Amino acid sequence: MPAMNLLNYCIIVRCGPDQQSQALSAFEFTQALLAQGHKVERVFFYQQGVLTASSLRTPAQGELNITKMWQQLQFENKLELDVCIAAALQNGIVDKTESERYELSAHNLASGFQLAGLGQLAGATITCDRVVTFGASQ
Amino acid sequence: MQLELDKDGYLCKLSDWNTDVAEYLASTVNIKMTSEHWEVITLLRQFYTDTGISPAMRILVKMVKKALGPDKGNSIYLLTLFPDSPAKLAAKIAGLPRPTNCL
Amino acid sequence: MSTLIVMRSTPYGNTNAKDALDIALILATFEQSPSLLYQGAGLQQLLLHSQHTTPFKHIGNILKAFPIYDIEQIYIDKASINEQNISLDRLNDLPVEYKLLDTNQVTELMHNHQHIMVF
Repeated sequence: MPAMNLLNYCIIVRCGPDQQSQALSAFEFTQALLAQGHKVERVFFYQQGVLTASSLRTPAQGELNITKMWQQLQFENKLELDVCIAAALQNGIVDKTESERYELSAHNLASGFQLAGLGQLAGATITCDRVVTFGASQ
Repeated sequence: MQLELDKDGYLCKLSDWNTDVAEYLASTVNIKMTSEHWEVITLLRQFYTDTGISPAMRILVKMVKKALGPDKGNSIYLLTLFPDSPAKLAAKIAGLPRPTNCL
Repeated sequence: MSTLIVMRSTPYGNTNAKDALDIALILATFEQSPSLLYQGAGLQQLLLHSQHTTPFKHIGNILKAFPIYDIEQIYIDKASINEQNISLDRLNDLPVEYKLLDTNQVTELMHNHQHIMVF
């Protein structure tokens, strides 16, 4: 096998889990990077991408559950799955802390994901060799 | 005073703000407003009116430096006025949303 | 220069314009001021700053904060000006300095940045 240049990646997911092909591409690309030994410093869920992190998603039978797939990948690789806090609050994805802060009736951030500021993304542009975006809508 | 505040003590309705409310909000974080405090609060409100942005610390420092000079446009000075977290405290007293990207 | 943000969306219909600006501002807060390239329908974002009556004034006004954030590399794709039927006069009132780029210069700009985000 030829020697390969191993790089540090940041993946940005901007599409919701309902955009199945793009959501799946983001997942499979990340999985392939890890399988090849690259570092994935963080996966940053932005815009509609934050909906991936809802523990209340219930895809129909026979459909992929992309939330569970990310959770499994996170568990196996100690991935950092960052969910943009501003977009998350806007779209009704909250963890326990935010639920208490805003006195909401429940919290639904799926385990394995964490709320994060855009600063995490800014940091990644400094430390990562590549920033790859999936699900950009125009 | 009948004011709706969130758990962190920020105004729920930004339109509730007036100078008395500012004095009250300052008292909730143990700050006694002086003309030096007001200088910064006034700048911050003007910036928010112009741009719609509630700025983070680095930008607050630059803004104060530009308007009031380097003696005041530094983090040590702002920390003496608004201890621990100048951007957050000043935004709270000025009746602005939480500074963005503060996490 | 590390990050180029390409603005291709109108300020209407989705949150791309605002979401891109949020990234630009946070990069600048981290002393990583990005370059911005306005292209295609994205040019419509630049016409908002003088229209104080629209509910979208918020996005237009963010331009006024660019100087204090040291966001100074503002580029406009020359070909898009005709395509979007925008008169140059309207761009003259912009509260920021900008450079017009032809197609080759746009290509060069993209080559000169490590990261590119398209909104």
